[in-house]
Amino acid sequence: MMRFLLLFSRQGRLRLQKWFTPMMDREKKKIIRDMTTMVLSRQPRTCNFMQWKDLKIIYKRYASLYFCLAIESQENELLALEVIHRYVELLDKYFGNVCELDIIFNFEKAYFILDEFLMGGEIQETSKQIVNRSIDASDMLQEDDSSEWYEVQLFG
Amino acid sequence: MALKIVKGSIDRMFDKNLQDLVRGIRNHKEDEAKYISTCIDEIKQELKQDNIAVKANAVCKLTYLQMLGYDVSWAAFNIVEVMSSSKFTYKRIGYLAASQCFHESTDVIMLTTNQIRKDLSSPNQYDTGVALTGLSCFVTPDLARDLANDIMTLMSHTKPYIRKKAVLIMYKVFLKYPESLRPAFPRLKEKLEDPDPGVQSAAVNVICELARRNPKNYLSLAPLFFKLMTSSTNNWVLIKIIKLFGALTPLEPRLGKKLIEPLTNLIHRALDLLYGMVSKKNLMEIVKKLMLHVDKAEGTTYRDELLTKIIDICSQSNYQYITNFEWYISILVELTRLEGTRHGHLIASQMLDVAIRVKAIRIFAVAQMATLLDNAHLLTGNMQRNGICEVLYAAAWICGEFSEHLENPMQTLEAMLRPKVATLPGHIQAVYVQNAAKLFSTVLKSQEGSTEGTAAQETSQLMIDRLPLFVQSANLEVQERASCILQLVKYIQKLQQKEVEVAEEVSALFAGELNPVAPKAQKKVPVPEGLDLDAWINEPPSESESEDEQPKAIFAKEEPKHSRSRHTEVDEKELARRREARKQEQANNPFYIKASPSSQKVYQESPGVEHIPVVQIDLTVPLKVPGLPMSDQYLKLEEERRQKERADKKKKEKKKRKEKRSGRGRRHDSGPESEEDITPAHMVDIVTEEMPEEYHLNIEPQKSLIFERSQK
Repeated sequence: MMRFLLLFSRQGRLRLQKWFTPMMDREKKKIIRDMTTMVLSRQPRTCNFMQWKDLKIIYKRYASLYFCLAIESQENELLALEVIHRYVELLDKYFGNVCELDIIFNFEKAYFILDEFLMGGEIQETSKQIVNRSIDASDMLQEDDSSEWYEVQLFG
Repeated sequence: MALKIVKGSIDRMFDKNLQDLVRGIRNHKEDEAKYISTCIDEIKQELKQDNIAVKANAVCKLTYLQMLGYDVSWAAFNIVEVMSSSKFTYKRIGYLAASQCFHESTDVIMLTTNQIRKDLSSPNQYDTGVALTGLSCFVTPDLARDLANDIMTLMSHTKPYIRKKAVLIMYKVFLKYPESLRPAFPRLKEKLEDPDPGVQSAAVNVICELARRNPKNYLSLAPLFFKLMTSSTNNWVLIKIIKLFGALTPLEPRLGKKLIEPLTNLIHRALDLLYGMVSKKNLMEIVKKLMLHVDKAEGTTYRDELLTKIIDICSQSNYQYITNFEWYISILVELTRLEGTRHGHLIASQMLDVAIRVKAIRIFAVAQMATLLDNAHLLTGNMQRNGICEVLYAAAWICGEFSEHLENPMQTLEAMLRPKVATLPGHIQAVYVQNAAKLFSTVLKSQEGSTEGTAAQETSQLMIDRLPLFVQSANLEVQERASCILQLVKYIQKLQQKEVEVAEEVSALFAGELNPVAPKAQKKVPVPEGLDLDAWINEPPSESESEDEQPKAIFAKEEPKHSRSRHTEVDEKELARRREARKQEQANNPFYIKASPSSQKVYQESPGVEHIPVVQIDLTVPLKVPGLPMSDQYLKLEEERRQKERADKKKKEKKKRKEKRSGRGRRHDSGPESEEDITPAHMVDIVTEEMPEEYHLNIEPQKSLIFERSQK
């Protein structure tokens, strides 16, 4: 089972946080601090896998973003790397040549995509097409909603 | 009243949405805290409004601020309000905010129960979906207890999208409220055979996770999982199932036995992948890993498989991927130390191949082979055909053929003529004898030039003393060769006693280089004129005679049948025997280049097989033959060499990069090294294969026979 997924920039600014188990805010903050310091201090060509408390931390750097995934000790690290890569592919498909700014300005969309791919710490859907289809369908629903909103605003 | 509404609307138009907030924060880098506290005040105002759209916008902004580290738990109630909106857009935002900041001690969580229940039974599948996803993040024991039934019904929803989510969330529910497992379990089992693959993999996931915590209860499901494993093509699922079996096998030994077959198939698929994966850069690492496996897999067919694989991947495409042949030879020598392998002849043929075709390496190869011969007593334990002693065959031949590179030919000559050699299989002895002769000529050449005249005569005497043992060998070939050479040496001795210089003539016996012959060479030989290969050489036996010869006996009718059946039987047996004989001949012939392995079947990817633990093992001391280097040294050397090359290159590239500074969209790392960057350790000059004289290589390019490596 996966415990959490964090995305942060090279300067340590958090861009996305997904917790698969409920935790107190204090704990979350501490974990974020620990992760950012640990990952950012790694040399460029060191291993992508680390041990932290009872979890394994898998991180990968894509351009200016670090993707950091924590898994339980019996899980497979290479699989975790694949999960991270699959998520990046999904983001790329959705945003078209995704970059950090896309995630900064549309962070809720990034969450929605993640929610279609992973759930409860497990992989939800392994097919890229199906994930993309669900996201597109949800987006269509949103568009219908927003056109109505505009009318409500004008006429009270 | 109307004015108020209009004023309100105008205010709303100036509300910051998420994008504005983000932009604003980025623009206020210096006084970020102040700016954000202003924004939070604005958000508090917005939350007081009745308009749900405004509230949703505010909550969205709050979620962003929460990510930056600001506490937003005071807005929990508003979040619940937004969650209860009927519009999908706002509901989504509400659930997102909830999944980010709700936890067990959030008091408003109880208020969400009914809302979630409503959403779970919504006609819109995306509403249900978003509720399920959100719930999975903040489910508490109370929520779990209250909603377990609803979720269970959802497992049989018409839409696979919902079924999948429902199945996955059941795991979370079980964790928080274990009593729900019992009623839900039968349904979960059903989902393992759900027609939709997504739902099926979700069910596999959940059961695997549950089984890992408590394997005993799930042993009964093992046959079902076995079926899934053999029939599934989804790799993610396969990995999960194999992990599950890893947990179950300790409890059920029969399961372990049954698993061997499919798992070995998977391992084979993984090994086959290696073919495609190999590149110049990683070949040495891969082979090193495989050698570790070989050491661990004592005495199994798996070990032989690995050995074949190692050699196959190294010799692919005419040794395309090997940058350092010294390393390869040391690998081959390490492989010879393995006991009980059936592939001695394979290693032998590789050594021969490399030594013949790669001129630059001959010196090194010869030195290694000499050491092997000296220590041959360590290898003569295995008497089987194709055992490791086959390697001695190659060693002897290489030492003989390239004896000019030997440091101490006298020593090698003595090693070859030791009495213990007579215990080796016949064909190996034959090679020893022949090559002893070659060595003898080299030794003579070096000794006659020197002032020690008696050394040459001592050598001849040595030969005369040792060869009679071989003359008495039971093997015809050995006998023949030994007696020929013995006579020759006796004659040479007589000439030496007359103080005649013999060395030149003796070396003339073995002059000329033998080159490998291309496999298609035979076809290219033009048929000489006037030769008709299909014509009978003698007159065909006439048909009438055979009929007349039918003996008139009591069993006249039965006999033809007998002869016919025997005839066919003999044919098959004969064919098989001939095939075997041909193979043996080919194996023994050092000049026969075997065709490249037939194209492998295309298997699907099978990433990593978990049960092979990648563990640092303490290698029990491998047979350390003095003088033979460990291949690890080469690995380190190669690493250092590449580091140096890279460092030099980086200096050049840094200058280039300063000019090109690209901004967004650059996703790749520092850039992988391309294959061309790796220069081989030696400049390799692979000997061309021989073709019939009139035939030019340029006319028909033949891919499998690339020889000359382009110099980089």
